[in-house]
Amino acid sequence: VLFQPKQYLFPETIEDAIKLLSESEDCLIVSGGVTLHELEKRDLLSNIRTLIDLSRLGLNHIRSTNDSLEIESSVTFSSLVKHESVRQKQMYAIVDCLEKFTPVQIRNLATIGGAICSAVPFLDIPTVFSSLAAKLVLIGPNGERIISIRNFYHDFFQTDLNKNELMIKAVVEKRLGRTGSAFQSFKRTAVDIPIINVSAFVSLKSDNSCEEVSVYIGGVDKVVREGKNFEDKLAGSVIDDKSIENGLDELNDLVSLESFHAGLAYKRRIMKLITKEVVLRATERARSNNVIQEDSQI
Amino acid sequence: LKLTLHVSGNEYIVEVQPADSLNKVLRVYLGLTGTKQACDYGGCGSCTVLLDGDPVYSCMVPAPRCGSKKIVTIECFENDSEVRTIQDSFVKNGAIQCGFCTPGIILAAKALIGKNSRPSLDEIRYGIAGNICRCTGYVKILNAIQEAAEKITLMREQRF
Repeated sequence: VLFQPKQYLFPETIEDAIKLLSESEDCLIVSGGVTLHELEKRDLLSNIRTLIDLSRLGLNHIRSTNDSLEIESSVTFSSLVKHESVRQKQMYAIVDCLEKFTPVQIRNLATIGGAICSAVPFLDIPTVFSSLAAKLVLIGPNGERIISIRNFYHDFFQTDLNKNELMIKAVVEKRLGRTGSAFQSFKRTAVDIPIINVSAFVSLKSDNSCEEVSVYIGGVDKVVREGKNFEDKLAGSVIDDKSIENGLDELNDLVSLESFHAGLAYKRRIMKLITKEVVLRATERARSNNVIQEDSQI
Repeated sequence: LKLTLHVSGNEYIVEVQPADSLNKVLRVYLGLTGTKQACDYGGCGSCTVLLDGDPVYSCMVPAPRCGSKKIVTIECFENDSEVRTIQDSFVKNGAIQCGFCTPGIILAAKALIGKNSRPSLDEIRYGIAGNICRCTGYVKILNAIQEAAEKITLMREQRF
């Protein structure tokens, strides 16, 4: 069935966008637009008649305050990684993810809102933002509501967004103290979607024992998964090679999605290798963290 | 949708359909076939063009949003001495075999050299990671881009 939308609309305000979403039965939001033609080729858009482009809503700002980093939904990967606030060690998983993100052609187009709301569990951004406990601000006819990204995904392509809602920004709370994060993605080639990705956030006590650790893994299931049992094993201990290796087997059950590029056993092996590397790197950043925060906006 | 497109210094008025990609508009409506079409979903880089100076996959860019953007395709070589320098370097280094990927790689290289006048081989690898070549094995392409960067930097220094 052919993809034959009848309209391509550019709402100028958020209110107009919500009105269009409420009125149009067969519509699709276009943010960066990078997945549009891939979805078309997989025959997933044959019922779409209206495309609603958010690029004129002006949702392309990044605001940094003492308490949080707010990233509006149309901010591109290129813009975000240039912002000084993501260089704080607590947020550094974002830099790990985007600084060497390939291909650059997609980095220049893809948006944070698009990467989060398309609900593809292989993408890197949902994993990173889950480990950083980002809150998503959604807006609809009844006003704003806030949801943790950790509760946002229900299934492949399915999020908590209602049909007449859109995401306007992601907010990451800044955490003072000895905090650090790290991210690693494993791809077959530079232009492929990842086979697996892991992001970790670590907060340490003054004696170097683990106060809090969050480990999120993408590409292993229909949604990004949390390594809860692994986190529980690390909690309270000093994070090192040995304590990590003792807990890695707890991650095995997370892997339930295989592909022709990677079977379950292969994914489990790669997941453990990357998780160890990422948690160690996040821990090292937390140990050396001296928090400096400044207000800024672009 | 009626759009005014600014492509490589020329202005075109064109009627596009809601589902059209920039790649389709360039190749089919404007006849600018220097920009190639291959995978058509962002997996090969042969359709790379510059949009407001940044390399993008034209197959992924919805055409209706290109009205106010400055687009550069490989056809710009007639007026762009830096692109001609990259092109000459590709020929001299044997970095072209079938040539299908070449327009996309040259534009990715132009964007890279625009931001980094003396890129290392690793930086070049990163800059063209989104462009696949199935003939050359990349070594000659990397050498060609590095040599072109040196020449372009020299040209810029002489100009000022």
